[in-house]
Amino acid sequence: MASSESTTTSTTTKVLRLKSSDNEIFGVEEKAALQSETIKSLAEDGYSEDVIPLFNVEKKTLAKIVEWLNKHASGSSKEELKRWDADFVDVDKDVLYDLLLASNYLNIEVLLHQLAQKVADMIKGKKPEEIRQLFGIKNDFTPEEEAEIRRENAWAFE
Amino acid sequence: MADVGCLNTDIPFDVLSRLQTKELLGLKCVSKGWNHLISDLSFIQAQSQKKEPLSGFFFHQRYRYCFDDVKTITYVPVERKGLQQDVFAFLPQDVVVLASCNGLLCCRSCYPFEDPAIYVCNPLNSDWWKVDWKEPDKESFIALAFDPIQDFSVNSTNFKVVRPRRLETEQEKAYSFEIYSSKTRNWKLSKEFWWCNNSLSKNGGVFIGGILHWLTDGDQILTFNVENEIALLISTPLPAGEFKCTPQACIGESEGQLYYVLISEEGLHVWFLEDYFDSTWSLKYSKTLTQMEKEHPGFMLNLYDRVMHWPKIDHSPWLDPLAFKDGVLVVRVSSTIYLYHVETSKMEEVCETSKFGPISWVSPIVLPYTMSLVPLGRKLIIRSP
Repeated sequence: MASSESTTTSTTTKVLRLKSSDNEIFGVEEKAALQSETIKSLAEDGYSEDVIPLFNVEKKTLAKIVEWLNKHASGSSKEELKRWDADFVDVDKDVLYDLLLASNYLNIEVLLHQLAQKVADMIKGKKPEEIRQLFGIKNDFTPEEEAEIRRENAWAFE
Repeated sequence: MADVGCLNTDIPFDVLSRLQTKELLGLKCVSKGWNHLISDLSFIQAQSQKKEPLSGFFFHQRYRYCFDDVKTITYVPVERKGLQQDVFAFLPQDVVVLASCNGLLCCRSCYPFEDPAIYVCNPLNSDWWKVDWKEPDKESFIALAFDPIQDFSVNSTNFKVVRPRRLETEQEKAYSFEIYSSKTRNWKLSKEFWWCNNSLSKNGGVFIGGILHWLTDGDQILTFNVENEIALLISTPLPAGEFKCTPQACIGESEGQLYYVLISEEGLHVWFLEDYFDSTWSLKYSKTLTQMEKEHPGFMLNLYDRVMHWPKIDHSPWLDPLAFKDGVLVVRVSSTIYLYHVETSKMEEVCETSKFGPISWVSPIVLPYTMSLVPLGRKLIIRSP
């Protein structure tokens, strides 16, 4: 990635310190951090001078989230951001899952939508069995119940 | 990854509501949790806010002279092969399909009948709503108005059924409109009537942005704004009299705009309406008959002569545009139905018209269909306070 990120001008920018559930501290510029509604309200509640504890996010996930927050506050062009986002969500499903939970907890709407769209794209075109396997879902239907649901509108999709 | 369908968050809702209806139908049998979510009314409301792709077309063959109706309705999906003929088996009687609008279909009892009725239904969940059909009339161009964004909420599904009624005096003809509203559960008559000397023809009732459109046999399209109950006549792009043959036309919707498709000795022309009040049309595609023949020599031969002379031998034209939706034109060539993708000129054979029931030289009713999960009828009644 290009290393021209540090050129935001001289005015002293405030840095918020975010602490992961496993006690790693990340310094993030306020402007970037406040894209999270959760961090915003914690900061307003007087945490801003101090370390903001994020009990539900581990450091490996928080590192990714911080990367996203910085990129989206960097003033990149729309096209560049689009390419960058596509790479960002192109991760293994367990990482994707952790990111989803974290962005939900941190209430970062734009990121949450991107991740949800990525999962929706993964689901597209897959058969129920493949979906169960992908997400580790137990089929709790009896064979009769399942057959009944399949029969209901088989004309439309089979 | 843990089960996104059972998480105690909005995530599964947010993920699954991005999927198209057809995908969701298959996903109902993943687990009880997923089935429950996909059937939930607030989920359906969120999911039905976005545009659904064209799924297929319903075909209904008609007799030219026989009083009885053909009882078979055939569904032709656009993305795969295979015809379905038992889609409407959930309704209490045999029906003729009249209109299709954002996932809902409007049907009427088949002649002969004991209990004349109009049904508005959603074949995906076998839900239906019965409407009184007073003064049954075989040739009525009943249309359906339903916009899932405005007319559906967790509390109700609202739709309107609109029936144009022709009034005739000695010199002139006019139309008024009877409107059934699911809110009031009653029919009422539009306050005004509009002069129009032409008769409605082909599959009318194309619903776009709150306005219904019917093609007429003159060079006009009759439109009716369902909300403010005002009608307006739009001129077609070219008068039929400009051609040597009898040109064949149909109307349809694509990207939220009204399209007009015309086949004449000059070839295939497709316009979209730019301005309602000025009847300004823009030509979107055109192709000469020779070009079409060259591209699809297996399907079409000697088109020019046939387009020019066939109607003199038989009343029905050789080449007939039947319906248009999202860039897909349903066209009959002699006795075979094809899907013609106007942008790519790709052409697919669907089947012989005889597959739709008894052989008849009258063009079948053809209605485009997009899917929707919205409930109606019984579930709706339970929801009403």
